[in-house]
Amino acid sequence: MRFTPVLHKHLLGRWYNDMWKQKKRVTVDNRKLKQALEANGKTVYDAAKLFGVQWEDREPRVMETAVGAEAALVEPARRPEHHQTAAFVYQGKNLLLGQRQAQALTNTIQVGEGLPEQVTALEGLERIRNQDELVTDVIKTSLMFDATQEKLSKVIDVTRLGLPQPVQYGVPELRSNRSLLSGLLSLCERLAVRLDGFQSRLTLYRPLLSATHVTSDGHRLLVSRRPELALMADRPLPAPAPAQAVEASRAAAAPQLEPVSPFVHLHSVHDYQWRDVAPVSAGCRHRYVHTLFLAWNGRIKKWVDDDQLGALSVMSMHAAAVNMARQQAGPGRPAVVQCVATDGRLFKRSVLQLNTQAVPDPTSGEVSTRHQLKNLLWTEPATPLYERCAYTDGRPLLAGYNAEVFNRLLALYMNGLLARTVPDLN
Amino acid sequence: MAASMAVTCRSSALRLNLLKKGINSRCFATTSSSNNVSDVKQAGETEAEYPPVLDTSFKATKDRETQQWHKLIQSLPTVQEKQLELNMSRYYGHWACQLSPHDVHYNHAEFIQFATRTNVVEAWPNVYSTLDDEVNKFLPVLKKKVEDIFLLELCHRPKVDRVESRQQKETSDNIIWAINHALVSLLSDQADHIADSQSDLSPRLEAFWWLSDVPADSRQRHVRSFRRHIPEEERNDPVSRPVQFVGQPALLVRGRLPLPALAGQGDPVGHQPPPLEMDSREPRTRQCAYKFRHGTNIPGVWPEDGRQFGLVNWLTREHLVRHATKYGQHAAADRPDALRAQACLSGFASCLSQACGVGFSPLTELTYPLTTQTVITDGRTWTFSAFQLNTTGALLTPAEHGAPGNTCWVLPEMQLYQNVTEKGVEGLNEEVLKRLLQLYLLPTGDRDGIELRPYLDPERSLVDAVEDDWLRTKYLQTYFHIMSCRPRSRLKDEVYMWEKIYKVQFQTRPMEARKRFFELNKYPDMRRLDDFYPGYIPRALRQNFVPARFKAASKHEKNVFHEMGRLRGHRNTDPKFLQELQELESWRDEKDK
Repeated sequence: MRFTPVLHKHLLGRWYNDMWKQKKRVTVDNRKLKQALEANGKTVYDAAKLFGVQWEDREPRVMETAVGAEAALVEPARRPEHHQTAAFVYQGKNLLLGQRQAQALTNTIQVGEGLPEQVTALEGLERIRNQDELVTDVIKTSLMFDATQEKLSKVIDVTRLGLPQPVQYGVPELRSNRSLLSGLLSLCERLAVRLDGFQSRLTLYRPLLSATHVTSDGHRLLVSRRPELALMADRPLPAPAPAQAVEASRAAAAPQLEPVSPFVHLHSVHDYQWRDVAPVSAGCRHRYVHTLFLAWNGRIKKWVDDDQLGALSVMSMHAAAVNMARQQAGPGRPAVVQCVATDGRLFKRSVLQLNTQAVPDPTSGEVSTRHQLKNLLWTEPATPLYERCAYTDGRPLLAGYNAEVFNRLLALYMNGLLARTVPDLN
Repeated sequence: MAASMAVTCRSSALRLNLLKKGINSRCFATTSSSNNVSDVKQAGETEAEYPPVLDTSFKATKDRETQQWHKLIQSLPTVQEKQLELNMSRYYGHWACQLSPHDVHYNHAEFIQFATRTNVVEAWPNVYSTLDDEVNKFLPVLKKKVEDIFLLELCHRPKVDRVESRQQKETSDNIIWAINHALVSLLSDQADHIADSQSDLSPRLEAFWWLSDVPADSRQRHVRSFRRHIPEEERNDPVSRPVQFVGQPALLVRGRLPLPALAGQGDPVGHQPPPLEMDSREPRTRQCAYKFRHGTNIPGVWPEDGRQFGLVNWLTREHLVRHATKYGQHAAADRPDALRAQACLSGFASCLSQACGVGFSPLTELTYPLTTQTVITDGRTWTFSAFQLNTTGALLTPAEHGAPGNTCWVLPEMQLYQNVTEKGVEGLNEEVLKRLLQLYLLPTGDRDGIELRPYLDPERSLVDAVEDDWLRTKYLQTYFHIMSCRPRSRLKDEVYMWEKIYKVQFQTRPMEARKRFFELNKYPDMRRLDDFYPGYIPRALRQNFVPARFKAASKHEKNVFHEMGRLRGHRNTDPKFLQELQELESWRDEKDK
């Protein structure tokens, strides 16, 4: 309402008086000023003693602090998550140099273009009844017909700088991505009964994934990220690359970023939880991570592209594979993990075979892991599942639906279910 | 046409003006005496046909207007228009009692039964016993899968993965989602309705209705005492209160066709229980709050989605923790009552929102019963219920023991297991899994000879029939805007504290111009949704006065509700209504002369 003089007089005058009565009791804490002056060699005298004045200190008024502010005020050494040694932490944000940086961090090389033959051979092999209709229904329901209306994150319209930015309501990206991935995975799981895999797969929702690494020169790297979904299996995936190819990887070099360190853009912090967290414990029958489903907010278009989706996939797959390898009792077969990364429209499939847990040093980079085994990555360019799915001119519109994307998801799901892709565990 | 263009849709305001001028409201009778007299004259018959003598009392006139409004809603051809028409009379929303499945108070079930006109039966419908063979076929496979799910979720998931305050809710949600995934993948090859279904995670489930037979509060009785047209014997009559349910089940399974009726017409389980005493019917005595909010009926998805019928509704039990904290030693004895209340309310809301999604409304009687199934669980303790919505008309009439109502079947709590250790699940109760399989295997189907969407016109849908791009887009945006219940950018007019003292309670400013809304008898709570205040046109630009809504300087000047009314042939183009208004206009012109 308009703040008129009449309103001020009738309503706020009393409020102003009350506020001043409280404020006058606030005292300024001069301890830091005194310390700073004495550190600079200045002599600080107590004014009351200097002038011989009787001065009664008032009780300082305790100002209310925000929740958590009290914890921040605790000395660092007494915080439970504080460590003397700093660690580089990756939590799923952008990497400055994209997939190349992720490969450099995880000592990984990309094998050709596209996924391994054992996955591509499964594309189109099986189909669900009314597949295209069901998939388009899942897309429409997740993105258009969901009745959730929440205030969306602000997207600055640069053509309206200085003007009020329009407030938008709709389905939050976190929700729509979760709904889309959950719906697509649910359709994939309809093959499980047909392929006798009903008991061999389980789905986890937003499990915590955390992997710790220590480089040869003592630097710490912590990778922690929650995938939207994790498909767990009761047996590991077969390794796409034979032993000879793994040995041959010693001669290959991970992407070189010199003079930039592979740890560029990663925060170096002292407050972190130094722990390995696998989605499930080693005693669980379904302890093998089959496929990770990663979702990223596609609303901020400029931050999400094929390269960043690839970086996210590599870091998350590496963390999951490292945890699986560490859960094995002794040196076992290579850990293989699949991944589907999406921003709600683009879908990127990747497969990682973990042959070594070594990571490069931040200062020497790839040089520190030269002549060692490398991890192998198969990935393909991100493919749009559809071009546009929104209400257009008052009509629900799904344009540019690409049926191949779901066929490829089915191929990933079937890997490890069909007889020829079931690994020999003996 | 000019006369019709000069007419506003606000017939009530027009009647008020005419009442001030001493016009008898009989002029707005549904049948006009002058027409029938002329018919008799033309036919030349000796026997005169007189129109029915209408009761012109205030109550009867209001009842006729209300019935007319109900018929209008029934006649609207799309879901969006029906839902917006429910909110048309309140720009800032209805002053509605807010109900939630997670705010369960002590002894709440009897109030919920009254509010939904439901008879709760502690039994299970016989129709499920026909599915025993199929259930036994899938039971062994499902049992092993469920054991794996509980082992993974309760034993093998790392403890650091849980935020302590949300632990129970997250665990319950994860178990529910995993079991639903397992059931859908297991049964999709055998059951077509499951293969065609969709599962929504934490959908938005809202239902809105008017609850009649609630006693008038002291403020209403006080206001009625000043209304001379309300006889003294009617001043204590009960009123209708808007009620809004806002819920978010953990998971909702939806299908294209409805579940079958679980009880036939005339079955005694479909009769209303004895109603509450009058003093216990006011929701505020049950710690239910009121709030200004638009009435929304949303079954999780917008009306364009083809799957409007809910099959299974999954709810969690974390509200029982708050219930136990609040009621201490009495909570254990009240827990069955709390679960009955939750099952009844959620089932009713799910069915009512489904009904609105297929063209019915809280003010339109159903032509066939709607059914839904509910599971309330935290993974260990399970409660199954089924709800059949037989009637919405009972909500608008006084509660009466034995009158037609709705039915809710609720089973007592069951434990699925005794303990889960790393070795396995101990004491797994197969009865729970059988009930679960029954819910999913109950087939859906068309109702023989009954149109599922009798009050929707497929040829005049909002998407297909409205050719004007601006109107179609703007109407849909308006629908989403109202249904989102977002705050208005401008605050509602308020009486400032100083005004209340210096202008309302004590008239200390008699010389000041009366420009404020309360001084002009324009109350924001009574503002309609289609009230349109057109932009100011400078005097120099005004030409030949035409109402601003028909003189659009740009397309943004048009009002979406008026344009849609003109397209649909709204009541302002009804011939009888226009004729009566023409007579009134001419009477007014003569009187002004």
